[in-house]
Amino acid sequence: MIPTKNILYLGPYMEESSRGYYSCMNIKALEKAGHNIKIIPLYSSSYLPNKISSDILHLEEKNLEKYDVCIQHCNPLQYVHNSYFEQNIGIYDFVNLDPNPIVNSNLFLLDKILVNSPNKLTILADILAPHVFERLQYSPQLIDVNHIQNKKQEKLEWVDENRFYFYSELEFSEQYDWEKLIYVYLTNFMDKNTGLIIKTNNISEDKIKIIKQQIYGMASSAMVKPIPEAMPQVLNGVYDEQTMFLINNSSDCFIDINKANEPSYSSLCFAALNKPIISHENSTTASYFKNTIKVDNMISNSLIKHGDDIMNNSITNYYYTLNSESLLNNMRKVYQDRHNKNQINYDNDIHKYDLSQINYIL
Amino acid sequence: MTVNNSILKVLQKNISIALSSRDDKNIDRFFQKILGKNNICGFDDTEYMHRPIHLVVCVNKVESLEKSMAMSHYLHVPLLIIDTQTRPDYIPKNKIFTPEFTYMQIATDHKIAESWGVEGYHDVLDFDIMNSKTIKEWKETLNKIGHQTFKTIKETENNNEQYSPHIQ
Repeated sequence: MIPTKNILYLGPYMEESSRGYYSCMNIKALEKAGHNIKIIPLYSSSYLPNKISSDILHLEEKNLEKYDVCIQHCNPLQYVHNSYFEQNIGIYDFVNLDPNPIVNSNLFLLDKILVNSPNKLTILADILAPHVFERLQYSPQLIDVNHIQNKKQEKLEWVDENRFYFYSELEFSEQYDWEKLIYVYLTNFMDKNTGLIIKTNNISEDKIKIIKQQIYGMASSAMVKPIPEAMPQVLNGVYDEQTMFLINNSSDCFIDINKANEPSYSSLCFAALNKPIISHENSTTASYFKNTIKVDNMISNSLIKHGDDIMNNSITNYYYTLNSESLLNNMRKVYQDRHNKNQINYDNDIHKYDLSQINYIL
Repeated sequence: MTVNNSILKVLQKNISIALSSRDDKNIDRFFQKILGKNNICGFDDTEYMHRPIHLVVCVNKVESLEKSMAMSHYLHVPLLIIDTQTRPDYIPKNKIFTPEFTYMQIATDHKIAESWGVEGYHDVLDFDIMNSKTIKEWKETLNKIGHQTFKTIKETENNNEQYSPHIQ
């Protein structure tokens, strides 16, 4: 049992991005664990600050007489040590793992640095000086499992209950295998029983139109007749936690083609809902959940073209590209299981990622 | 600096401000009287500061609004705009720019507020150093805005709005 601590938490909880959700969940977990916490928002990226769960905002008004711990969830270049606190903790969740000497020395300022991905920890082991690496501690991204499981009945209004929806989150750029996913869906699944929901982040209306034309073009070149109600549906925007939950709960299978070293809110949500997750074998999601349905990888052309740059940036997952056949087989298997009403327990040890695990970080 | 200032701001309760200009000695003296000598610095000092800044104060938006906004954003602290001059004719009323984060606007008299558009002002307060009522009002105002959390306007406007994703 860890005694109650007074915590000052600075983080990007107002951002509606993976980092924002991560920050929000940490705050909720600390509060739920009984700690006294004051929060201060940090704005560090180009994501639009927008709608967020209002249930943590009251913590901004809290003023404590004394603080024991300071948690800084920000760019490592901004970390500071303050001897007022018993413990200065940093949360390192930046995608760009820059082996810059300033980062090394800034990390050394803190007593403990939390890293939310085992993949990232492996990369950092090579980059950081050993005495700095010693301060790193794996601390997984958390989610309120009970809260999610109690809301299983809530779904988006416009989804068709009888349809099987695949769901994916991606950006329409070459770093994502989005064309492969859509091609596999169009040529093998598009019918009256299936759907594909794709969530992307704030892209322009013009780009959406171009993407839609591209998708129709892909269907016609594959000689597939488009079925309008089964064509991939694009959700474009940043959504609050409740809306993200509704999207996830309305879908039946998550296809995680994200190559970043960060687990997404959706992967945790799908695991909490005991729904299948398909992901490439080197993904952070696969390292989080033992029963992730793994798609084989192939070496991507980008490694051949820009190999050295990629190596230097240490963004390992960008080496890989999904094997279409393996993706198709896995999607087919999940769909068949559902069609045959096979009760599969995708036991992903989700309770390891429940908010109650937060005390391990203090 | 952002994180450091945000931490120090919480640990120190007394309000400290960064003034856009310390050229007007009357304004400088007025704030010194309210906050104490050590709790005021100019923008040029802030680069080297080791003490917290709770509030950026822009005296006359014509002169230093842009720099004050940048400083506010950099330090993650609210902005207080104090107008001591009427709107020049070359600035059309419909082109007046307001910050998209936590801020407050005060005019030193009603004529100034009207020239800029009175609806944009939160209060009218002068710098009468001999008037104890004015000093009390300033103290309250600085305390109120200085202890506010830095936020963007968009976020505060839409805070609790729920909406449904729509298909594109």
